[in-house]
Amino acid sequence: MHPHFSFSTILQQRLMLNQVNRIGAQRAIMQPKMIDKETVKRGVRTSYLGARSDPSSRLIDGYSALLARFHRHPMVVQDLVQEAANFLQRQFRLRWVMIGQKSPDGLYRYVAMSGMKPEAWERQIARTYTKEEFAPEVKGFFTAAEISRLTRAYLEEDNPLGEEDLAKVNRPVLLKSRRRSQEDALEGDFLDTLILGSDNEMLGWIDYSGTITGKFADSMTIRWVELMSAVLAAAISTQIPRTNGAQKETVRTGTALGPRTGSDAPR
Amino acid sequence: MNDIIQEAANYIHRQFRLRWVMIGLRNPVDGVCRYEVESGMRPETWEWQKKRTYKKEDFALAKAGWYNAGEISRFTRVYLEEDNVLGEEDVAQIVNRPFMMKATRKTQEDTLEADFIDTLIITPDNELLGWIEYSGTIASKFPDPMVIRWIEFIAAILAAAISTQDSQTAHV
Repeated sequence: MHPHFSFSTILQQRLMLNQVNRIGAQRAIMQPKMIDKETVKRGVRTSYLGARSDPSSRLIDGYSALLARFHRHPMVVQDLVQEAANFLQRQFRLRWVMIGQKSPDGLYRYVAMSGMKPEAWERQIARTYTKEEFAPEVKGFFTAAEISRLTRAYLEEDNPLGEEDLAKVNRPVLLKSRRRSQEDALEGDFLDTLILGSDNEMLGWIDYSGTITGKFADSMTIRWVELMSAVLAAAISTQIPRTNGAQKETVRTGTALGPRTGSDAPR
Repeated sequence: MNDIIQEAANYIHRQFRLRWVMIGLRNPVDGVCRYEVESGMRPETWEWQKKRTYKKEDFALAKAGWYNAGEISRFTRVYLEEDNVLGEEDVAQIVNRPFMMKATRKTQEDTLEADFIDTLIITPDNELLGWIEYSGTIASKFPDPMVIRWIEFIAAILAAAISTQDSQTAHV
């Protein structure tokens, strides 16, 4: 054995090394490592970039793009309404979307759609409604289930269509199919989300079907549609000249206002 | 407009559990940017903050002798305490809880007292209309990335509202 490297010397050196390491480790625990500021900034940015692929984040992008139209002066509301219809249909995979607005003559008409067959759309844009016809329920006419202050569901069973109305339906061949579960949406089912201005003034409405998989829009989809209705309400409001004491078409939600007229029969 | 931005500040502060929120607007006439509303600030601190004025150049990411920011997105930047060392006078005047200064950052999710985030209120042409300034959360963490996204959305709404008002004012 080499004279300078006896077993006991090696053991002693190892023990001292362990002790030094332990002391070093204890010091490291007692003095927390400084977090580098660049690491912090990078961390915030990286987690943000990760969130960009979140479905809600993509929806925010879509809504922000629509809000960008408010910066064009004058704002072309019709373009915004059409873009909203396209966005809702595509983003939430709905079969069709129609958006209607109050016309200068006080009647309500469809002005934009996405996903409707052209023939069905031609029939729909010929229809007019009065504000009374947006009541949730009037015997013998449209019957709706109130989902929220803004949204109602109209079921095919509650609102059976006459023969002449079949042409207004997007896919008449699918009428009278069976509802196998409570999530299923039939061809004649639709949802309405009202577009209300200040003081519940009725500015328009968003009509939409179930999804392309034949289901009702889920609750968060309905919330996003209600958000869209708020955006459209703001846009439409910018076009309305305000005069003192002007008569407003108001909707008292939750109370019946009257039927849709028989001349424009339910779909 | 003041009502809208005050409601926005209150909402952001409460909903996302931030320590404080301030919203500033750029005056379209003189181009000067000032804080207009707050939520969560101490009254004494707010008194100092609302006296401060900025130019749009002051919102650059890095300006010699001025604030240094880390860019998070086109709209949002983060300002860290280490990058933007405050003098004693500033600590006393504009920091909400000056006694919390010089705490150490234990993890990269932790916020320090003088950290803050700016989300700009801009037009599609990048014209500065205002900004939303906010702290970390009440748990002293950076806001969740989806919180930042929601605040960016609120900034888009405020931008639309400001732009609409400006155009209506111009027509009067």
